[in-house]
Amino acid sequence: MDKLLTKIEDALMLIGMLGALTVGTAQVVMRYVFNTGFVWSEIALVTLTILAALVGGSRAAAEGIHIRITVLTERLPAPVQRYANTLAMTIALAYSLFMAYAAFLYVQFLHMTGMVSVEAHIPTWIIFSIAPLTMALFSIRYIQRIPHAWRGDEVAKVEFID
Amino acid sequence: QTKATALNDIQQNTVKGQTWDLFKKLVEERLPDEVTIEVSHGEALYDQKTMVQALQLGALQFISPVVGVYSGTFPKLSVLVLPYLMPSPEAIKEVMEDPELGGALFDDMRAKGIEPLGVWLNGPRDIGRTGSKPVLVPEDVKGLKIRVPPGRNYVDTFKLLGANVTTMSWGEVPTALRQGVIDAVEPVPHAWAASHMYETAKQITRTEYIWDFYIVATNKAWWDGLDPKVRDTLKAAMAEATKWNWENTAEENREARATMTAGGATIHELTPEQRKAWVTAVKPLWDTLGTELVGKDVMAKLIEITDKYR
Amino acid sequence: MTIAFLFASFAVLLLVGTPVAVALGGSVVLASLWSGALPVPIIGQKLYANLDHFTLMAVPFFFLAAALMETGGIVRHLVALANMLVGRFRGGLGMTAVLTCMFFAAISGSSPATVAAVGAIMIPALTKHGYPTNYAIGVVTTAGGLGILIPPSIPLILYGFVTETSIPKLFMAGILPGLLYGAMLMLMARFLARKLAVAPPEFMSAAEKARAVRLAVPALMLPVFLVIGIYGFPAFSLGGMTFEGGAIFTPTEAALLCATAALLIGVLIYRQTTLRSLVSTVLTVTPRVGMVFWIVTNAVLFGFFLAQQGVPTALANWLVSMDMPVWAFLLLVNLILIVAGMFLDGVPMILMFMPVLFPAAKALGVDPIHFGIMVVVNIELGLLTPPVGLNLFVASTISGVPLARVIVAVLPWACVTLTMLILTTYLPIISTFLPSLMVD
Ligand code: NA
Ligand code: NA
Repeated sequence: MDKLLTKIEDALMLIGMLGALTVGTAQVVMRYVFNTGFVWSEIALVTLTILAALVGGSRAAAEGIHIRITVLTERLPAPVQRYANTLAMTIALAYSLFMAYAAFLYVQFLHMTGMVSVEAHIPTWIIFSIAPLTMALFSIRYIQRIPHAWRGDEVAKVEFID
Repeated sequence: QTKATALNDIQQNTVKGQTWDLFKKLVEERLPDEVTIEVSHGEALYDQKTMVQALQLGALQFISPVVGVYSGTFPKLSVLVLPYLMPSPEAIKEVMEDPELGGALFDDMRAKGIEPLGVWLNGPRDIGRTGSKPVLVPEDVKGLKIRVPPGRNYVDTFKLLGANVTTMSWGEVPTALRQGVIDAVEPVPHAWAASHMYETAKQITRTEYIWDFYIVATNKAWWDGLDPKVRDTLKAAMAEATKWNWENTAEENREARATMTAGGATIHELTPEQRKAWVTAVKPLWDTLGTELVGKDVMAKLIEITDKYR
Repeated sequence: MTIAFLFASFAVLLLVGTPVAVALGGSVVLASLWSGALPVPIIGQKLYANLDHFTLMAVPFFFLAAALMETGGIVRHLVALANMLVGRFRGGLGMTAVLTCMFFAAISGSSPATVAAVGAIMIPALTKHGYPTNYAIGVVTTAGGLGILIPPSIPLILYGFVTETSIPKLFMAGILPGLLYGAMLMLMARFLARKLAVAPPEFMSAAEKARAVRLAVPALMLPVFLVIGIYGFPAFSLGGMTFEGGAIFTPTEAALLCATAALLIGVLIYRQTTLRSLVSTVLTVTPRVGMVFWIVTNAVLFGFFLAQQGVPTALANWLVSMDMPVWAFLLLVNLILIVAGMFLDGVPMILMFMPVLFPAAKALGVDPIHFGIMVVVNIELGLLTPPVGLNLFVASTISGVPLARVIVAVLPWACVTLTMLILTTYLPIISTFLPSLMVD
């Protein structure tokens, strides 16, 4: 399960970043060298980058690189630190779930209004689906982390050595 | 006490911003205990891509974007901003008041939770470019790197004329123009002046190829739920504000042109022959895009009405 | 009341150790559910819409470009060159870090992108040459702020847009304060290096120096390419052939081209980038981009909620109603923006405060260009102040040093930023001199 998820994330990050890079570079070359271009290049670039970034955010949740302020919890005794960590991860999970739900409601609304992207001629609900789907990914990542936090093997990041 | 938020998506010191301020003043004078109106100027709350949805979802009560902003949800509206179709504000007025034309389009909006309240004026779109050679005839556009707003009416027009069209975000445009990434832009006079782009693209032509306007709208469920007396007062205040808006737009654009000339830009007028050449060059779009959007009959009716003002 | 609830829940979430992004967004969700201020789908709309801006795309691609420059061997050669140039001076490499930031600032319009790009190069280089980690982090995190003062600059573009001030003039206005700020940071770099008794780098032979220069030539092509791309190649006419000049790409597109060029140089010239290393670079960089974007969207949501509740307008209106002399007005504007900058990013700060503060400043006779530069220096300071400071977060992510230590590391350097704020506030000439030379 974890392996499959990682593979999916890897694929989406690579497609998103390298796809956006290709589209953006091609747009500049087309405009400058061939004096032509695509109207949809900007929306494609933005959509692919946001996809890559939000999937990257999910990976960041798995790897624990989202910035936290640990000044207070670090000073707690080890067993209490465990509870604080578990609480923090649970809150992050609750938030991801709520955002997945809120974004899903918005996608549903867009689907209902039939709004179409003016530049790309595709329904905007498809583009916006990135939001609930990546929030679902975030949620899975936090679900995976909670047992670790509970067991206490979730420690503050290793200090950088001078 | 009802609290309503109106979004003026551009600067406060524009005619549109002042129209909203006037509307607020009129409403709060007449309904001091019933309604307060917050006018949010600029894009701090919602931008062009999100305001229509925010209105539909009830997060906003009033918006006034340009026609193009609605066209993602109501593609047919693009027909109103086909190049050289609407020759003047009076033509816009008659089209919008016609039950089969404006009326039918407004019914589409109502069906999706939006209650249109009226039309405010923006201005005629004028093409301006960097360098020393002005754009006077359609051939001058060939190969020109021009930025237009997203929307088929804009994009297809310049593609038809052989330009290199881009729809880059408006925020990038002044820099891109100054650096030479693009050669030309085509906003309305007050936007030309406000963005200072006439300092870079000094050859501006009164092509007036699209007469741009705003559609003022409210959330239908909220509007229908108001006390009828309150609603009538709001309607009357809107009518007065709209009248003021129509009286002052021409002056705003005239002043903007004066600012640009004083700032070193050259504004070229089209001769009747040149204007005719433009209309002839873009007219095929009325058939292709216009018919595709609204069908042959509606298109014919539109041309019939607007011809009176040509 | 809703606002008190918002800040209280933000503080609680932050202190129990939830990620900063979650604390920002979570407090908005709680305050909104509590007061019924927002329909739930609107929160879902904002999650994506807050990121849906083309100019924001410069950040991930400068991140990627920096990483590709590293895997491609470009960084190694540039650092060798810098080392050769400043070999004799104590603190010279620290000063080089500032110079590199100034140089990168002329390419990029974003501060976090400057920190990411230069930090990835200079932090390891500095620590390798015996500088304390705190020093390395402090200098890059602070000097990265130059990214939005030296043109091109995303916040200056936005300010020009919102206040109808000429963007070319604003860009021109940013140059002198940018150079001054850079010079002050270099002095600080020298002063701190002496205080910390950093050893001067080792002696290099003439042959080694020549080798360093030769190897760095392809690496130097990258910045040259970007400068030509952004500022344009001079127009020329040769025989029957004329070239009209003009730039090739916008500052945002420069990030993309920078990444592509770094990739090509790494593959074709230094032959160090392979498909495998490209894949692993993308997979290392994207989660960092994700971290930044996740904070950005939640920070913008936080700012949106404040704006929706009318906080900035009320604050600015109160300030305007006070009817005070210019110096006191500017002082209060700074205080408000410093506090706002603790929580907000530059873009929402301009969108939320300028519609009211700008007309007031203008009415008091403050030059719009002077005011714009002052606002941008405030935004720079905001990038360095906790709890929400994007430069701090980027530095923490690229170096692996915990946030609390990054904040401590930045403190001495932030004093320079504060001095710079005072200078730009009360010496308008620094900002207005160069634009006054421009012909209308
Ligand atoms: Na810059
Ligand atoms: Na801050």
